[in-house]
Order: sequence, then structure tokens, then C-alpha cells
Amino acid sequence: MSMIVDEIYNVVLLFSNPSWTGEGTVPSTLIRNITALSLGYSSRIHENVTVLNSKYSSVTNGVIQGLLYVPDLEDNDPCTEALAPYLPDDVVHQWNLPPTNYNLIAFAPWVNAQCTRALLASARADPLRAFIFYQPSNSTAKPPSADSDAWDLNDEGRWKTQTHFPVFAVSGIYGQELMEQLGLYSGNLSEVPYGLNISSLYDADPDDYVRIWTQITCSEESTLPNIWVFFLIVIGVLVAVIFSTSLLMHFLQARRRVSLRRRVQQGEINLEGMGIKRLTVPGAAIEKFPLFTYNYESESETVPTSPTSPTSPRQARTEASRRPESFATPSSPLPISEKGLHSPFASSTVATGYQPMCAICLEPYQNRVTIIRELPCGHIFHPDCIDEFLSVCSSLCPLCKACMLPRGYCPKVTNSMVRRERAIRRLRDRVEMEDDVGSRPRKGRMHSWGSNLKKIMLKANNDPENSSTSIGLQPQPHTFSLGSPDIRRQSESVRHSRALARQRMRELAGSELDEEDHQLSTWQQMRRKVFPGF
Amino acid sequence: MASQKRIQKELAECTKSPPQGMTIALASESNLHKWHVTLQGPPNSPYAGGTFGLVVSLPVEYPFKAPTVTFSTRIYHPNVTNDSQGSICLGALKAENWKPASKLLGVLEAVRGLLVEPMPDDPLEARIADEYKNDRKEFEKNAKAYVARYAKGAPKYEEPTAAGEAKS
Repeated sequence: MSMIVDEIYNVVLLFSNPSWTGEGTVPSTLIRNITALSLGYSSRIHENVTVLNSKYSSVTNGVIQGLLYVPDLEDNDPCTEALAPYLPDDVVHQWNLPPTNYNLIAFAPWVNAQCTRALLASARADPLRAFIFYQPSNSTAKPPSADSDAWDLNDEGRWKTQTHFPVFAVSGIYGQELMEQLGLYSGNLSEVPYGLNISSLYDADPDDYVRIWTQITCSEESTLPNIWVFFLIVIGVLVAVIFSTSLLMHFLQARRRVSLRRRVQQGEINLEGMGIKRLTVPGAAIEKFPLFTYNYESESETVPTSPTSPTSPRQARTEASRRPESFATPSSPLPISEKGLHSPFASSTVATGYQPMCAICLEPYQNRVTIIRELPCGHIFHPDCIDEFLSVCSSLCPLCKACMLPRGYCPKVTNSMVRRERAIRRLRDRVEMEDDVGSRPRKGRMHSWGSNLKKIMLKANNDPENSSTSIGLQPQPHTFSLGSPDIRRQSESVRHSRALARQRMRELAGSELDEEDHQLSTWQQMRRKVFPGF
Repeated sequence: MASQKRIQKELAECTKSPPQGMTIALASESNLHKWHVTLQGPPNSPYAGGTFGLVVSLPVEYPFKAPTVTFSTRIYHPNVTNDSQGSICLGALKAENWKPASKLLGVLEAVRGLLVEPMPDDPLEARIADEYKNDRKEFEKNAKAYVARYAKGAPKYEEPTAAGEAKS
């Protein structure tokens, strides 16, 4: 830490001379700032000040002030002559100052080492607060730094430790100007500039002093960067980290969206069936589902309750479609899946059996009268009922919950959909893993590897004598508290637990299908925007 | 309206052959969307001897949207909230499980089934579910105490009616 000078400020003050009040009176200190009335010299400098010595300064952080003067030298000192060319004839010396013990600031040119030593020695005897030097020149530049050879007094720097006041250096041109002013403000009121104005204004005694008063404002220069700079750096780094993380997450999330979109388009994922997003079928796609006239052949009534025999169609259709390319003849036992838009409906699921009424309005169909619409899964409904349902409510068949979205169709994939899908997939993996570990433990799945590892560690901790037994054979404790499994109905309980787990998946993956981020607080929404994958 | 027709059909079906121990009536003749169901506690359950009120609210979008079924009589059960709301946790009634092909008859059967065999693994009242799993005697004692206290005499339907109205 070192001292720096923020400002040197010189003003002219009027000191009442205590001697004129008479013998024995207490020296009064009536001080007026002449500069404030622009009747005197003043100057301020903020830069180009070198601190030569900051040791023993009682004020490291604040203002050093005092009356400016030039220290006296011994009469026979050769330096008196050496300095004479730089000093005005009537420059302020100690005897020109008010007799009261004011703080002083010495001021002198740095001519050579010998004279400076003499000046410093003289100054040490005075109530000095600081010493200001200047190198006589026309330079306006900052004087050389404190460790420069220019300030060498041939005593290996000892003068600095001996000097118990701070020493400063100002530029040559400023020093000369100040020295000139110091010459002007040395006499009594009749001699100083504006002396008559001052004396008439303040009704001052002719013996009053008008002198230059110097204030040096100092502060400590920390080797650490400024605290604000430090804060800015920290904040900047934080912002950069957040920004890059956010960018990375956005990038990842975009890739996940693309991947989810691809899987939805390929029909691998049924968004609504998984409870990720409520969807509706576009009107054009609904129109593409074929329309037929309901035709229930009487001879098939003999076997109305065997829905699995695909060869005896209980329900034949006459073409009533506006679309000629859907060709189903009344006698054709054509498996419906061939006309279906989605391949997942194998012929076994298409065996829809006897459908005497619309499942939506429960109205029975009238043979050869009612127009019905058939979905790719084989279920039939009134066009009015099913069109409204698919376009307003859901994209799933009301009966079998198969997805009715056209192949390659994908709604806008949002981040929250990606989030839910991932959550569900993770949970499903976990459930599968548990089922795996429960039934066939040593299947070497990637997922069970981690849990086995955990178990090994647990075993090592809890159960050292049992550690040699096979690790995977113990049933995994269920993560979902599914209750104690009953051995008598184990298969049922497994199915039950799986259904429960699926249900729980939905609950965990996201509360309701329709409401997405609306119930989140502003802060959470913001966080999700910035860190979408979080 | 298709929805009105369907509700009428279902109502006719339910009143003609109601699930065991149930009687079904409209809350008011003019409003098909609110049903009041009286349920006799199944004999092989701790709720035997009690008479429970159920309020079925059908939304305007019915059958596209699921109905809501609530107990208007307090009941001590893992899957029914133990308050004046009497909300029931029934898988078939959840928004993502509901399909228009589901029928109210089936829903009511499911409610009755829930009384015979609660599902403590998917509880609304975790404490009661724990009790059901771990201390069946205590559970039955409590359930019977609730029946004796709340489920004797003709059921009342007031409180949940307001809640159901707000929902539909």
C-alpha cells in the first residue's frame, strides 16, 4: 500500500495579526478565505504529483494542510546562494508567518543533494506537516518516481527514514508558478495583491497576514484492484458462466426437441397416451378416416360373441365414403389394418367385434341407415360424435386409446413436453429395472449395474458376514412404496404395481395434461427459460 | 343435444339396474348434470350398515370430460379425503384416463368396489392408508365409528353440491 495524492489545493487566507490587539492578549485566530471572494490566488492540481516519502505521515487517508513557506537555511550555508536564483526576493520564510503555532508545509526547489539535505534538516525543526519539492524546469510532466536516481541524496535512501513527514514532488512548471505566488503573499496587507480591496472589505489591520494555505488530499492506493472493479469482474464471470450454461442447455434442449419430434413423427411415442400433452387431430386428418353405412349382416348374428375370429366379419361395410379410393366391399373380409394409417394396429387389435352402438352417445346404429366413421383401430362412431371428440378433446380413440394422429404429424414440441417425456422415460426405466431385478436379477442390464454397485456398498457397510453371497439375488427394495408383495398373488401384484407405477409416473412427470407452466411462479418460469434442461 | 341424450340413456340404465345397494336420482328434475346417489355400505366391508350420499357432477362437455364423484357423507377411507369435500381418488375419473366410452354405471361400480377393497397404495389419506396396511383392526374400528357417527339415516347432499357446481 502506498500513499497517493488526490489533490493539492492552494488558497489565500487572511490571518488577523494577534500583535495589534495589544500586549498579553491571547493570540486570536481570525481567518478569512480570501480566495473565496476571488481576491486571491488559488490553484488546484490533481495529477503529476509524486510521493517521495510517505513514512511517518500521521495522515495517510485524508487532508494534510498548513501554511506554505520556504525553510530557512543557516546564514553561512552555501546553499542559500545556490537556491537564491529560484526564490523570489520576498518569498515567505518562517519569520513571515503568523507567530501562532500553525501547521506548516515546506516548499522548495530540489537543486542538488546537499541543499535538499540542508532544507530537510531545517524543516525537521519546524511543526511541519509535509514538504513539497519541485525540480526547477519547464516540465509539466509528472516528476520521476520515488525510487528514481533524481531523488538520491547520496545517503542510500536514509533521508527517507529520518524524515518524519511526507515528501512530495510536483512538476517544474507548477513549482515555479507556486513559488512566484509565494513571493507575492509575504508582506503585509499593503503589499499583497488586492491588499486594498481586502482591507476595505474586512476592515483589516494593516499588520494582518495574507498567506498561502495548502491542502494536500491523500488516499491510500491499494495494490488490490479497486473493490468495484473486483465486483465487476466477479459479476462478469458469473454472467459469462450463466450465459454459457444457458446456451449449452438451450442447445441440448433443442436437440432433445428435435429427437422427440422425430420419434413422435415416426410413431414411436404417443404423446397423449403417455400423458405428456393433450392433443387434437387436425380436421383434414379426421376427414380422411373413412365413412361407411352401418351394415350388420344377419347371418353373422349366430356367432355374435366371438370377437376373435377374424374370418367371419360381423360387420361389413358398404361404401358410403366421399373418397373413392377407400374401397371396402360388403363382402370383403379385408383386414382393416391394411387401410389403416398406422401400422401399429396389428390385425389382432383390429378385431373390434360387434359394435351395435356409438360409444360416445350410446345411440344404437340403424342397420343400412346410419352413416358411421371408422377409425384406423377399427372402432366406429357417429361422424358427428367422433369428429367433435377428435377435433376438440383428444387425439386418442375413445375406446382403445390408440393414437389417431396421422403419421408424420407432430405438434409443436415444447421444452415442458421434452421434460415430461424424459421424466416418464426415466421412471419407466426404473420400473423396468426393478421388475428385472425382482424377477431375473443377473440380466446384466446397464441400469441394474448401478444399483448392484450400491447394494455392494450397502452390504459392505451393514452386513459384512453376508457379503460373500450372491449380490443380485435379493429383491430390490421398491422405490415406489407399493406395499409388501403378497406371494400368493405375485403375478397380479406385479401387474398391479406396474399400473400403479405408471400412474405415479404421470403424477411425477407433470401434474395435469393441460396446464403446463402456468402454475409455476414467475421465478420458476424464468429459471426454466434460462436453464431449459434443469 | 347428444350429451343430454346420452346422459338420459345412462340415467335410465342406472336407475333400471343400479349397482348393488345403490339408488340413483337427479338432484333436481330440471338438471341432468347432477345426480344424487345413495349407497348402502357393502355388507362384507366395515362400512356395512351405513348409508352414504354420493354426488355425481357431469360437466357440460360430458362424455368428453370426466364426471366428478364425491362423497357427501363423511367416510373413513384411504382413497377419500377425510373432509367435507369427500373427493375420491378413482383412476377411471382422472383426466388422462377418462374416455368417452366409459360409463357412469362402471364408475359407480368402481366406487362401490373401492369400499369393499380400498387401494392403500394410491391413497389420498396417507395416514389412513398406513393404518389400513399395518393395523387393519384399528382401521376397521375407526371406519365403523365413522359409519355410526355420520352414515346413519338419510344422506345429506348440501356441502359438496356447491363444490361440484363450481367445477362443472
